[in-house]
Amino acid sequence: MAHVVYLALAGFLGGAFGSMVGLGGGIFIVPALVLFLDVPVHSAVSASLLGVVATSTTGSITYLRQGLTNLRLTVTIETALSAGALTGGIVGVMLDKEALSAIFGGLMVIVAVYMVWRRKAAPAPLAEGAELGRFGACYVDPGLHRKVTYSVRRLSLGLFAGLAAGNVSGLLGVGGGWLTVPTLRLGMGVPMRAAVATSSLMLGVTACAGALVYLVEGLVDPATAVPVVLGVAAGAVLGSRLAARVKSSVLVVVLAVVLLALAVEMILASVGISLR
Amino acid sequence: MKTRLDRLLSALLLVGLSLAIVLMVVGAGLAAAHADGGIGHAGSVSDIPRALAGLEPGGFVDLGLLVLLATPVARVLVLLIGFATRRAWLFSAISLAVLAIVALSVVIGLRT
Repeated sequence: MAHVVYLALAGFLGGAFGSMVGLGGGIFIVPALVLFLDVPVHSAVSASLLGVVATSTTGSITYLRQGLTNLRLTVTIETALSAGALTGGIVGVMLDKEALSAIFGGLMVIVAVYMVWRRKAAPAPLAEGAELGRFGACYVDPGLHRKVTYSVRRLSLGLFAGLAAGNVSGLLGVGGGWLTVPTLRLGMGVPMRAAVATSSLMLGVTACAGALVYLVEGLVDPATAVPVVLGVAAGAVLGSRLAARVKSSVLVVVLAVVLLALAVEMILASVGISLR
Repeated sequence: MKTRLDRLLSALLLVGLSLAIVLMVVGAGLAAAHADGGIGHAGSVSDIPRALAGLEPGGFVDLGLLVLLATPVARVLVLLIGFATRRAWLFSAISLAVLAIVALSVVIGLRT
């Protein structure tokens, strides 16, 4: 019984942090299950993928209700993200996994430091009546209680990041939120809350395809997956509600800490020390 | 700003997630009530109706997991229809492309 509680707790923490910053939560769940709860890697990865679907679904219920999710941007980058995940296996045989881990681990450190450094630099506010463009949107910020209007720039950068995130998620077993949230926020002019909500929604579909394969192949252990998914759902409710109450700059710091933790994991993997 | 489509999608995700959780909790409850207390699989997807009829825990759990995975796919389908009703054909086509890529990923994943 205690084991079931620990599985649910791992899911709860993954869901809470994941939904708060627009990640799937797999970066917490897989190491926690493998390192501390002796769950076989295949069962841990399949439970984590199901957890990512649960985090995305649960968090997005709240974010959609708050009008924070940019649906046109979600579905557009989702195309690149899912195409990247599909081609990940093909590209995977041509690349050295350790080198890739080191490169992306280093990139995450740079992104995390840059995000903290620029955490208070909000995108330039649009003038009243300014053209929003095809992907621009507006929402009422739940923390500031005022309308925020933004346009989206450098869509090609977002598509490239989506493709890379999808590719790497297949190769290295991490979700794509670590790259999509910073790209939306820093590269495309999307405010932090909208970036978190948009990333959160798009991650579900990508994880869903992988999880379905695991399920049909009988590689999902229900005794592990069920407590993790239930824990994730509860945690993601808390995380998405907390996200509305804290300042955007605090969300940035939380994301940066998560990115640094993942970077350490990836850099260690590049020198042969696997935490999974 | 929040639109009707946002509310519809939020409701769809809520219904899908709630149904999945209820099915998984029922499955876990039935497993706990059985002598061995373990949760197994129903077998293949085609075995789920039989397992449900026999009140086997695996049937409820497998159906719950399938409902959970079907929810994001249904969300893309609703987006496709939602964009089409607004005559946003470009985004409707992009949604269709996402569905096609996901279907292709599953097919390739099952064959490798």
